[in-house]
Amino acid sequence: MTGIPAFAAPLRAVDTLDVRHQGDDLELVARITVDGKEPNLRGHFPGQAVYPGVFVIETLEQAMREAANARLRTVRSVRFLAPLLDGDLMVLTATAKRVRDGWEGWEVTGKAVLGETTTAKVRATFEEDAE
Amino acid sequence: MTEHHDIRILLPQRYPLLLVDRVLDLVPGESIVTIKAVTGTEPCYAGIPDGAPASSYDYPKSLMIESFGQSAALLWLDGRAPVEDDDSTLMFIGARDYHFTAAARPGDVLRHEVRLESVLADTAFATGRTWVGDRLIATVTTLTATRRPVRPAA
Repeated sequence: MTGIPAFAAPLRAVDTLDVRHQGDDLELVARITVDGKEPNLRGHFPGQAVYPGVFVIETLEQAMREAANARLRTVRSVRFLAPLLDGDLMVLTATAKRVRDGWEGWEVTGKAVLGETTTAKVRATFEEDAE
Repeated sequence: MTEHHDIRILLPQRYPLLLVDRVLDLVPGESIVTIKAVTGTEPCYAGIPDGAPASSYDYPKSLMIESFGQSAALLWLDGRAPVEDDDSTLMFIGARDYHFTAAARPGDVLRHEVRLESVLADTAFATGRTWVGDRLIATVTTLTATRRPVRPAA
C-alpha cells in the first residue's frame, strides 16, 4: 500500500492504493473518502458536496500513474450509476492488462462501489509516460 | 457571446470547478463553442514541487472532460436558467470513446466544440472536440447527461 501520491495534491482523488502484480497484469484497489470541505467539492456544489463523476476517472488515472507510470489515452466507456456524497467511501477496483500489440500500454477495466452499490463502471486504455 | 457572469447564472458549479470561461457561439439545439483558459495559477498546480517534469503541468484530463461536459450543459440549457424549486440537477452520466491526442498546459486556451446529437426524454447525447488553437487535444464520440435529483429519496 502506498500513501497519497505526491502529484495528487491538491486534486485529491486517491487516499490509499493497493497494487497487486499478476504476471504482466495489475490489480488495483484505490480508496477515497469524499471530503465535502475539500476545495474542489466546495464548488461542486455549494451547499451539497457531490464527488464529480469525472473524479472517478481522476482516481483511476492517479492509481495508474502511481502503479505503472501510465497516462490515460482513451476512456472507451464510462457510466456513472450513483452519486457519491460527503463522507462516502468509494472503492475503485481495476484490472490493468498489459498490451504490446502495435502500441505499449494497458487495457483497464474498473468498477467503483459505495458499500454494495456500484457507483461507476469504466473501461479505458493507458499508455506509458514518455517522459 | 455569453460571458462568465451569465455562465454563473446558468450552471450550478462554482470556483474552482466552474470550468467554462466564455461561450463564443451557440446555435440553440445544435452546437456550442466555449473556451476555458488554463493558467499556472489553477489550484491543481499548487502542490507541484520545483524541478518536477514538464508533464506535471498537463491539465488534468478529468477537468478537461468536466469542462467539456459543462459546455454541453450550456448547449442543452440553451440560455435558460434552471427552475428554482426543481430539485433536479443536470448530471453527467456517461461517455464513450473520449480520446486524448495531446496535452494542454498553462497558457493554453481550451476551445470546446460540442454538437447535440439527440435528446430522448430527459437524456441528452452530445459529441465534439477540444482544441488549443489548431492543435486537436481530445475527441469524444458520445457524452451523455440527464436531469434528475442528486440522490433520490429512498
